[in-house]
Amino acid sequence: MLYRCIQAENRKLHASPIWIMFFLLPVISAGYGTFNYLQNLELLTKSWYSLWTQHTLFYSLFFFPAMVAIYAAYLWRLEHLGHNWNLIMASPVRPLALFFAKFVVVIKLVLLTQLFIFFLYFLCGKVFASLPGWPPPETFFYLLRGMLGGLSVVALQLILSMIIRSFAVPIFIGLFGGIVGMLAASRSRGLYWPYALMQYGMNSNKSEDLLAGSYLPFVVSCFLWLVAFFLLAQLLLTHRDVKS
Amino acid sequence: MLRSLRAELQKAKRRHDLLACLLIPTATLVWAGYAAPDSTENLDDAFHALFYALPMMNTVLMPVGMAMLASRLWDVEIKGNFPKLLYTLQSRRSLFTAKALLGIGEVILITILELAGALGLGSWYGYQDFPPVEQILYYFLCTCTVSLMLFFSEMLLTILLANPLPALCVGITGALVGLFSGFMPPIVGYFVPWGYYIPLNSYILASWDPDTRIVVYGIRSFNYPLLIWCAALAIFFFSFTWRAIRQKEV
Repeated sequence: MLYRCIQAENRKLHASPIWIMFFLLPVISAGYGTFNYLQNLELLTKSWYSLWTQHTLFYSLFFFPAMVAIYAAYLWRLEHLGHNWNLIMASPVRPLALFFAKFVVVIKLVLLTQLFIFFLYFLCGKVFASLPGWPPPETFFYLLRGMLGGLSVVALQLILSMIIRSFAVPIFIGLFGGIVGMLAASRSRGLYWPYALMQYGMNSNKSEDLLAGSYLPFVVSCFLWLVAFFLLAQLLLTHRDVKS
Repeated sequence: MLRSLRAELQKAKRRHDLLACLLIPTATLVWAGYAAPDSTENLDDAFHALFYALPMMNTVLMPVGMAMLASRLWDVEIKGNFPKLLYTLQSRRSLFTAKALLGIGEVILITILELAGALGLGSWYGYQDFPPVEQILYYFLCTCTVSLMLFFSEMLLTILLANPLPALCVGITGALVGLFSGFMPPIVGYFVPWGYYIPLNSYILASWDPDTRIVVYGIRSFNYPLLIWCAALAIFFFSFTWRAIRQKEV
């Protein structure tokens, strides 16, 4: 049944305007990152690492949470229309399966976005910045870490879009969450705020590894936030009456 | 017309629009409160630093915030499939006027709250350089004009496409492009309407020494040509939104 739910969620993405943003945001971020890198070569001396920070800084600080929020809000939008809540809650599917199916589909989108960002990073590094060799394996690892940190953001945004019937409000909350995450991370309190985890993972604002020697707290924090959000989703879906 | 406005206000109350309006200045002030110089730093030009940073924050937050407000105003009709009903039961002029007035009121409220919050924040920290009245008025006028221009452009998209998604996507992309334009040569900023908060700002970074990290702020003359251009864009989007509602098929 879960597989059928995932298939249903996937169908919502066919010919969706979301794909325009999926391509546009990373391209703009990469374009600006490369431009800025080429303009500041005397300051940015760590070749591939410096290009990485320029490519992913604003993306991971502000726009990743907003983008995830759009993905999540889009998948819940149909449920908020008409009497669809009654329909899906009366269908022979466990409520958490509905949530999990959306989670899987947003994760798929986020994974594709991350891979696209890495592809653009590699392309710009080679073609425009003429950097030698291959990107360091650490940057690909940062990408996967960012993905891990982003899981709790995905779950939280899905919850927000589930309980807030407005399409737009959860998106602004996502952007706000990213800003608070930036402030929390700058005070070394990022592990206590889900939106900061992705920023930690991506290592976007420093050439040194932000998580060097502290992987365990990071992984534990990602896991705990994720479990907490899934429990909350389960609670909301099973104990709260729908408003349609 | 008054009945339409009253109906819009009732819808706004049920949608908790006031909370949505409060969310935007709250986000700006949380950020500004963190970035603003505190009592341990030099407070002689701290208001300069604050008003230099605020337009950058607005560039990130307002395009998405305005898309949120605009899409909420029209999305409530789309969800209930109400445009057909409204177009036949009331004049389109009164429908548009009520929505436009509510939107303008929300934008003005957000700007006032943000400005009052920033001035309150500076006074709380004991900043020495309270801005002159003309600077405050100019800041208010610029923020309102750019926000209204963004609001009507997002509203136009929401009405034309009958879906809030494109407006939000444009808002986020615009915020990203606007933010980048702030770090590019100044001429670039003139071609990016989402980032007009930055070239319109009269507080500037006069010099920055990377070795001593000493920053000197300054004030430049008001950028009236850009402000007029921005107001013209806002009127253009306002007219096209009205045209879109007028010509919409039932």
